[in-house]
Amino acid sequence: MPLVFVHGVNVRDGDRYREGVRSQRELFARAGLRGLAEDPVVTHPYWGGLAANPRWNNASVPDGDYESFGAEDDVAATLEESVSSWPRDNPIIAIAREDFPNAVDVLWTLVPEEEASPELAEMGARTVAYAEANRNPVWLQSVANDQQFLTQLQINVEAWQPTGAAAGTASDDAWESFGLSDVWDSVREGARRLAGLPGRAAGAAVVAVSRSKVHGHVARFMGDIFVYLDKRGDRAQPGPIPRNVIDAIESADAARTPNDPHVVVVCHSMGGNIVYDVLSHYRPDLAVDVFVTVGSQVGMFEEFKVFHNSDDAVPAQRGDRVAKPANIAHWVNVFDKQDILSFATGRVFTDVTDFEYSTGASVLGAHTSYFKRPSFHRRLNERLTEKLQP
Amino acid sequence: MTVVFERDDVQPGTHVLAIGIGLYDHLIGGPETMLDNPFGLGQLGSPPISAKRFAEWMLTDLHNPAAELASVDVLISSPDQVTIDVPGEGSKQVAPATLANIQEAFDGWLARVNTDNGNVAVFYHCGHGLESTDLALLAQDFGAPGGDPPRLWRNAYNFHRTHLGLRRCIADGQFFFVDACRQVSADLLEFDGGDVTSLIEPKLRRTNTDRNAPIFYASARDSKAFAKTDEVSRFTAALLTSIEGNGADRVGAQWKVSNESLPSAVLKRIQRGNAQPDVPVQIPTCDGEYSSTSFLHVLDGAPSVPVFVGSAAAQAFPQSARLEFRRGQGVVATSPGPGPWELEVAAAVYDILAVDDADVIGTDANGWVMPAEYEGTVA
Repeated sequence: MPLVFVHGVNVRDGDRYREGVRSQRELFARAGLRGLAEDPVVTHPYWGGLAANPRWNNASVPDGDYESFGAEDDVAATLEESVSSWPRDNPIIAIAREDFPNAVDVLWTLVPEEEASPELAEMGARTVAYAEANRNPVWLQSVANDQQFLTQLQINVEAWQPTGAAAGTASDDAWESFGLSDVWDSVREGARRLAGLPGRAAGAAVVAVSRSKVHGHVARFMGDIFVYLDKRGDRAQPGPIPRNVIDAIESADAARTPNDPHVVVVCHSMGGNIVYDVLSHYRPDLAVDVFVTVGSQVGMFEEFKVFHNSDDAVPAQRGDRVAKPANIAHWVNVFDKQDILSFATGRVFTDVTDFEYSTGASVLGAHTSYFKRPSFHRRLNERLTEKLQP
Repeated sequence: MTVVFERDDVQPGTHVLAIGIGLYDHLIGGPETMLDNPFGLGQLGSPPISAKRFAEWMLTDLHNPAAELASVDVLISSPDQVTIDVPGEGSKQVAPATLANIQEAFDGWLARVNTDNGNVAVFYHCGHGLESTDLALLAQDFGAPGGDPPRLWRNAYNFHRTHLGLRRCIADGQFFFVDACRQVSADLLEFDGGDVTSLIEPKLRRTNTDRNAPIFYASARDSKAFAKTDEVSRFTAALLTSIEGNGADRVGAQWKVSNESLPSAVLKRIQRGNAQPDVPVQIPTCDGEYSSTSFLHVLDGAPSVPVFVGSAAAQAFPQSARLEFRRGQGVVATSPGPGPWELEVAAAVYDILAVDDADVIGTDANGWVMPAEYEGTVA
């Protein structure tokens, strides 16, 4: 099944982006599309290189060195994307006792992206399913430190049989290796990044480094939007950013097969606005089976009537809404109330399903963490299954 | 220690120390208090089976006229009591491979090996391994609580430093077989090999510069070794098959297994196995140090050599075809079908022919079937 992922603003090429893409591909293929695709083909059209290019390298941003985090700050920022507080000692247990599935998300979010593998994605999906089915397992109360937590998590997840699944039997043909489990070693490597990290109380002032980071992000966020709106062209001559996205969706359309007949387009943030413009204005002939907008602003953009297809005459009266484009069979919009950059769509468009997904993140962190989380991909899989295999 | 076999009248001789560990008291599934972080390591089924197989092969099949078998010491950790069948002496129980037992057995083995520079030392270990700067091989009691001060690595030993330390051993032939993983855990990046006991401390001067001391690793650094839970491991199976056959070179009128001939055979057998369906990829390596030849085993006759023969790209032989290996007027071996063909034949020079009924329809122009393996093409 072809899945096109269109990124949001503030994305630029580099090792970190590429490793992130690799990690996302594994999670989409192994978790988000589980059971839905014979041959999951995930593509990531990249438009960041066509977007804003601050000529003074963000010199207008106070403290413009927001990208030069130390490793500890980076981990703190990553953790902040998932939880609002954590103790200095054994933070994972504390998070798990408050919200066990969220602790699993935290662990997978912390895994360095260069460790991404199909097995890691598979285990992430399995572990979050285990945590959701066992929100307060007995062993969670008896473990005394994060090391014991990780050990018990591994043991219990590997032994777990989901309800309805055939009971596993020890196979004479089973291979054993005389060493580590690569997947759990990667998870432990991520958890090790928390060692020595100062604790943080709920409601504490946001760390200064995050403030400057957000300031810089907002600058590029605005810049990317301005560049898109200014240079998007029109139906006859699409600008470089819509052209890039159109090409990717066309390729996905051409890659349909009898066994994988559906095209899914998943968009993050500004990516949703671009794809909405593409499907409603540039290429209304391109059919998409499921359009998933995550942490996106399509509803807000339509309120301000900035899409090509926006019609000032709507709403003419209270209750009027914009019709969902006919070439979109299903539209799922995901937002997190904590994510100040995500917006609902159901009161602006018809026939859109809004889903709230709580990342559990702080206000500043929620926007960036959806796609790293196994629980998000599990939810996505449920929604796609509802739409594609009703 | 459990010396299951010893002959005082053999000098020089071959002295074997074989260790296999499937039971780990403090790892996942073990019977004692589990380590807070057992590195994801659990119990193993294959090492006791593999070590037993290795030791019993040495007892029954090793043949080296220059250094016949003189002693075999075996330590095996398993939930079940393990016995070794000693020809003419019946079954003998073996002791578990705790670090104390390993050290004691090692010291005894070294004392026996150190009696003659013509002795051949054989060291075999199968079980969990972890690597950072050095390779740590874990004993049954790895992770036991206690100690003053507490040391996680108290019950593991540093294989690399032990190998280096054995430069103090006078035996010129020293063979090391390590059937273990060599992964580098994220938790071990700060692990210093110096924290781990060496069974013999290295000495920098006045060491045995004549020794041939190859190390056969089941896995390359940062990779895994595999086994079916209830079977001999991939590495040990390939090792013994290679010693019995294609790990030999012709020396005069005999086929002999040496530090020079054996590596290629072991590596190729495992690499060929990697191509089989549902077999996990394993990357063995050979290391150590040697400057001349030491012999481990002498074959009774010509070794069996794995043979892989394909047909030229454009050639399509009929289903009724077969491959024949002929010497003189006789057919020594055949393999049915249109190819490609895989079989094992005794090392020799053959006429290798594709035949259909009585007609020769193709010929392999080479025909020198020699260890470690033969690849040919019939055109």
